[in-house]
Amino acid sequence: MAILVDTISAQLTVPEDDRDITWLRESLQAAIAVELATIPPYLYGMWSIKDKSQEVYRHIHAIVMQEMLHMGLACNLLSAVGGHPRISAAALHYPAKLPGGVRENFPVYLEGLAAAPNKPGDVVKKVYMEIEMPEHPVAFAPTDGSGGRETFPTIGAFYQAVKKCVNKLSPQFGGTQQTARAIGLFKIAKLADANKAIDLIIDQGEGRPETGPGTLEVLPADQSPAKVAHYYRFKEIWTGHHLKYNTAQHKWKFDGPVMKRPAVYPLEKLGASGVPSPSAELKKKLKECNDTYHLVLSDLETAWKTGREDDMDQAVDRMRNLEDGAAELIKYQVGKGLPKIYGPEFTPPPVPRADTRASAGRAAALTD
Amino acid sequence: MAEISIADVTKVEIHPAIGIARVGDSDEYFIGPEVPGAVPEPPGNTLETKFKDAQGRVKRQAARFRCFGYDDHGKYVELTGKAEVTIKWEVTLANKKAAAPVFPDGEERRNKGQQEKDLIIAPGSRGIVGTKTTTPPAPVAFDNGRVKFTIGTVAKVIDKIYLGELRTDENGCLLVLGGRGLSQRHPGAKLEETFNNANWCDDVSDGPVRAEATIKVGGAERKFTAEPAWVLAAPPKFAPEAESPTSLWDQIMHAFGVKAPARPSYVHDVFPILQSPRTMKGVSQASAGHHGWRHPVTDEPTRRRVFKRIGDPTKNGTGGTDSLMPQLTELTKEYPSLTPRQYEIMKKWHAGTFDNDWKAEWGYDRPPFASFPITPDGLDRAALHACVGAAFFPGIEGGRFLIEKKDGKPKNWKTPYPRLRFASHVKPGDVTARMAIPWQADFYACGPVWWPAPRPNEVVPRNKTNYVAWDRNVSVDEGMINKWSQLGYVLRDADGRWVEVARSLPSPTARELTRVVHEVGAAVSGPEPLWPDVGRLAADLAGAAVLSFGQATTEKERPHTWPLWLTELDGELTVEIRCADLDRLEVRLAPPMGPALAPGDFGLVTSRADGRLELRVELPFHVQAGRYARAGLWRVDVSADREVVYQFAATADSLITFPAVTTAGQDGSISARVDFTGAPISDGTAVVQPLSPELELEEVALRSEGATGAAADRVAGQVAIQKAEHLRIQVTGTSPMGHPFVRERLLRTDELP
Repeated sequence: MAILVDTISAQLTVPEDDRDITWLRESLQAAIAVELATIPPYLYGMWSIKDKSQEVYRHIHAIVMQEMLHMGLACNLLSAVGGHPRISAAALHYPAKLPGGVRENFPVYLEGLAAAPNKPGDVVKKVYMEIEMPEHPVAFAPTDGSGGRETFPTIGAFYQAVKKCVNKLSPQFGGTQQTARAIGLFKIAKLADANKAIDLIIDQGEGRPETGPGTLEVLPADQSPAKVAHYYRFKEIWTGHHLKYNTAQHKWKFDGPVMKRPAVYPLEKLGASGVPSPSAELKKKLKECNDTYHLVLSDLETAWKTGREDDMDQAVDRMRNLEDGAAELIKYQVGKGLPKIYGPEFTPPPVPRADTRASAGRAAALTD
Repeated sequence: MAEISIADVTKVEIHPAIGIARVGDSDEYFIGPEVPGAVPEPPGNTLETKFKDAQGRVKRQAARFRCFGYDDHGKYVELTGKAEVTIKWEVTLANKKAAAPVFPDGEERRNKGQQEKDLIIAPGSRGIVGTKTTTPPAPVAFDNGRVKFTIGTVAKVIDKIYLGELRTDENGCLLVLGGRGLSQRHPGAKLEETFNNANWCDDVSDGPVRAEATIKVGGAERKFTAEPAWVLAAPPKFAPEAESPTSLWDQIMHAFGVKAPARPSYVHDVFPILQSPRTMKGVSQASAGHHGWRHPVTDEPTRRRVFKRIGDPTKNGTGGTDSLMPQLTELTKEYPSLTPRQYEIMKKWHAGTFDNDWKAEWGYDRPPFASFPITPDGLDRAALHACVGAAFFPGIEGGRFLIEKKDGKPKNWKTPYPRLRFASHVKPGDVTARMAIPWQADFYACGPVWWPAPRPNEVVPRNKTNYVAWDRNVSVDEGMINKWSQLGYVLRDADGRWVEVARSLPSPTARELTRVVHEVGAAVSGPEPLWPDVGRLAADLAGAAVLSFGQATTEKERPHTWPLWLTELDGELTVEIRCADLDRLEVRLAPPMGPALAPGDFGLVTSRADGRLELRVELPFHVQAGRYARAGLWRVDVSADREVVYQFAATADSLITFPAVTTAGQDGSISARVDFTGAPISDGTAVVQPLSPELELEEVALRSEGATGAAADRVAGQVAIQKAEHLRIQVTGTSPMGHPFVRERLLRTDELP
């Protein structure tokens, strides 16, 4: 994710007047990567839950769907302004480190959910809430050297910059785009669509800080913060309590009804080199998951090249293979009684990364 | 198989063994599928003119029959199309529905008490001669069908009933066309239920197809009489390319105990089972975004995952994981499932035991059926493959008659698979006898997950992106009787998208939606138990989604009907009637289909006290046998034997509300605004009617604000009146699934901000 953060930071250092169509396309490609980056960690945690009918499973599932929607919207936006979404190349190698001024080396890694709420080491707190935290979003730029918290651009600020640029350039919208009814993905045909898409990403992904003016504390009773932003949904999961509006104090608090932490498989945290010394059979199952993941990414890339509905359908169909492959992988390890159990590795596709290097190079140049 | 010489023919067979014709109101027709899995290809340059003619009428599907000559070794040659061959075709058609046992229990006969001979449409036999010719003979019609229905002492003869006609093509093949889709009744008959409507008839039919072939070779003439085949003239199939998960062919194979092949062929055995789900998204919203696999499906992750989702018929349809496929309605067992034979094929496919005979050049969608050879077996299977095989309750083209057993053997067949010939006790009209009468009643009722291929559930209209109900604006079951041919066909466009085309059924206008035939006073008043004034009524209705309200006086001999337009967004319907003489009123609540409900009937929560009658019904409402009523035109009928004043208010527990209605006083005039924001509707418009005790003032239509086009979320306008104490705001619109609605609000003007 370091490349990502660098790219986004670099993009934001370009003076507004110099932000042209190329800047816009590069920014939207970075947005695709940001949205994609969140999906494997959430899936890994979601698949550690044994019973799919559990509330926590459904919550994470809903968030994953929204991240997919955001990624799809970023792809449509990029296509709409004449770019070509690169999806395979956008995949990250986990754990991915976030270099940061305030919280250095905040890592994004793959690990199953903790067995109980409120555990300080729970991936929900350490990764999910950190990724989605309104004040410290996934991509804050450490490169301007000011060190002041307010000056770090948030992911929201990044999307605001993208929105501003789209409106400034008001380009001709076209390109091959995709729709997906299941997640509400729509096409970008005019400026209003572009603004709607970006606003939606900001609203769902960014949300409001917990404290301070204009924040959670002043959110009215009829507007649950958990419906507004992912961070609060994750915090409900972590604390094990629903948000509840306290009418006496006139604010939302995490002391509502219990949100039961479901039974989980203790999926180990994955290191940089993946599952350590797997047996041949386990290796085969891990490979199947990785291969399927790569196919999902390339299917999606194809879908945005052709704009055909059945290409999108195939990508979605393959996502279900990934889910099933993960279940098989876990079932196998549990059945074998292995001391440590892992989920899919989500290794990035072994494709030539020339494009990524080029854009990283350009990003570096811009930073310089 | 190399063709044999005509001289070697020792036996003649007709194929398909069972041909399927489909009714239509057009003179034009097309030939039904002749290769298993192939889609009919009617002439027509556009999608709109493929299955409907230029006037928008439904083309009929003709069942084409051919003759094949066999030698003593089972080798064959097609005889139709040969100059040496003349075939005398003879077909008998009949419709026995009105005299069939009641479905499903069958203890009594339909139209009990009426003479059986009056109830059977039996125009008899017709013949036509088939030879190779450039000018086929004139059509021969079955047009003298007749029934007599009697209600009480009133008899009604319906004659000249047309069940179809015979033609031949240039090769001397027989074409059987079915009826026009015209369902008729005794004037006193009503459409009261799904399966067994009394004193109704339709024009589907079935009967034997006979052929006598004369072969002249070298001056020698030989005659052969073929074993009869059969023709079914069935209802239309509105998604010709969609396939039922279990076809009629599959169900018959199962009934005959035909085992799955030891090593299934991908193309012939696996493809049909995997293709059906791929087509479902064209006709079912729930399938959107699912079943995106591509042929041939050979990779292990997909085989494993798909197989897990299939219910195991040997375990009552359970045994898979997650949701169990196929998810269709089934009443005779807990879960629907593939047939055991189909399941066995899937099991082998999952295990990798199958021949991948798919050719790479076919792409990933379907084999190039047009280039496949026509074979006798292929004709048999093709016709039945395109028909519904589950669930038979009662079915579409045919039902349990085809799979009934006696002493463990197929009851109604002389020679089951592979010959597929009926036993001699099977008479014309027997196969379709127990299907619903008229077919449109069941076609309307069988919405979600019954038979989505012939009768789509939800569809995406061409140039639109969202699903809407296929049967939108049919409104009530009787609507299907006359409007079926105005409904759309679901086809694939050039980009492979499933689109609804050729629909000509209009939406009702706002006038039609809000029209009430009897006189209604909107300004209610009266002594207890009536609402004393509009203000009290307005207070009682505040916050509810109001469907209709008003005050009326019953008239002798003329029942009042209050129309209530409901949608998929409505959850509970409540009707309140106030009357000082409540016992004199006869009140019925009629759902869009099925019998009208009287107070106290099962499912209708009724309370009656102090001159107030309240009726409540949960939606969706179970009408009968897995058929549910929700969206459409509900009715409340009120009658009395003398003039009685009563008040009426109907509300719904609904997602369609208008919380932001605001009106503002300004120099005595009022500006009104109806804000749809937040209501999940497709479109809407509003009319404001000022209510005044002195006079009924003219209504004012509100105009759309802003440039949001069809999806207007706000309408507003000036109401230039000064005396009205109350405003009645009447909103008409369309729900996301395409169902029209009417909603009302009643506001006091002196409380306006």
